[in-house]
Amino acid sequence: MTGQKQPAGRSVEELVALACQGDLNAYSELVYHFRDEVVGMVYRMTGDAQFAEDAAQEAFLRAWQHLSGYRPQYSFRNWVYSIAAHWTLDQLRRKQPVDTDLDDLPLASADPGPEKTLEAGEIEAQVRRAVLALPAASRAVLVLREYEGLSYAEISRALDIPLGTVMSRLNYARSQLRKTLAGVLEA
Amino acid sequence: MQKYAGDGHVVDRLPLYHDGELDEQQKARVEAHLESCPDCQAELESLRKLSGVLNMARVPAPVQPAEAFAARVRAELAGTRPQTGWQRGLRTAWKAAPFVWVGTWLFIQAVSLAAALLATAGLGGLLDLGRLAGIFLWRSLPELLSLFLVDDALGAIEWLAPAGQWVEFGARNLGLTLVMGLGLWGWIASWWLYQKNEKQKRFVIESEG
Repeated sequence: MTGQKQPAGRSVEELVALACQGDLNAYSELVYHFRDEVVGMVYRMTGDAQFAEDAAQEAFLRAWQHLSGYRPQYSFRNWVYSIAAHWTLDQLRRKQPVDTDLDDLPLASADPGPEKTLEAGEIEAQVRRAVLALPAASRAVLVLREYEGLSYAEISRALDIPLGTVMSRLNYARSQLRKTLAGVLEA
Repeated sequence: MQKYAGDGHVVDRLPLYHDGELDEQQKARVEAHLESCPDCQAELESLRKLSGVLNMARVPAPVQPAEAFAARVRAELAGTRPQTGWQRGLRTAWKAAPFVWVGTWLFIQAVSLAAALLATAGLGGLLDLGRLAGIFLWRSLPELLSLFLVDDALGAIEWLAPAGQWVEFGARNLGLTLVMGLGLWGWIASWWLYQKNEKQKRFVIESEG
């Protein structure tokens, strides 16, 4: 599972090959294409939009520098995820916690629509609060699995941890969430 | 949860099944068990419900337009090229240099101190080890070989005579420490200049942006 969408026009592989030769236009196209996904992934890990932007920018800068180390058999998106996730975890370790006011987290949509009640909004906030309360290492695995759809092997490569650790962190995160969200899950 | 594991249940396989991580054979085995096991069905349902709830709370990050972001990254990268393999290797070596430097210094200190102590204590057979380590570290290889060739053990012991050994140890140690200290400070200065340059570059880009 690569989860890799194709940019309009040239393929990701073509763009990466051009970028490796120093073509900044091709690389900008990659940045434009994957930026939302990378920012979104970090945002779901931290709940901090500004931090997510910074992490994504740092990840794309580092990815450019290390393009020669990219292996085309893996998804480019997951490779940038890996850089962003490492940077994020490193920052979280250095200055715990990221300054996030959980009550200020935006709801899924500014316009809830007729069927989306206030209660649904409260549940969303509760879920995201529970995710952000997890230890950063487990949260990273959970976000990559549940939200980004990475396989265990891809998570293992992205975070540079053994498969067994991926499974144990994921199980831990899920069991914690099942406890903290028992009310929501039973509803 | 584990209470099921030893009773033919497949609870420990369920997260793998749910995440699509099982091969066809394992998947079929889990599905066969699920058909007749309400406990495992409930467990799987709970996993699915959790995924559903998590994805319900999936929100897009409130971000600036992608064009502005891409332009900022582009501005930072303007005039640069991706590093080649050997450039990355060189960079890694440069980052590792102070650790190797300090590690080498500590190693030399430890070995030479042990050599000097052994020489001072005059510990018979152990002295040979200390003598060889001391000679290897402080004297040239030809000198070491010549000691072997002439087998002048007595001469070597005299060379490592307690009083002289400590004076020589101190003098050589001071010299070595000074040289290695200067090297380390040189590295710190270059790192500081590099960081300053990077900050300056970012400041210019942000100001222009």
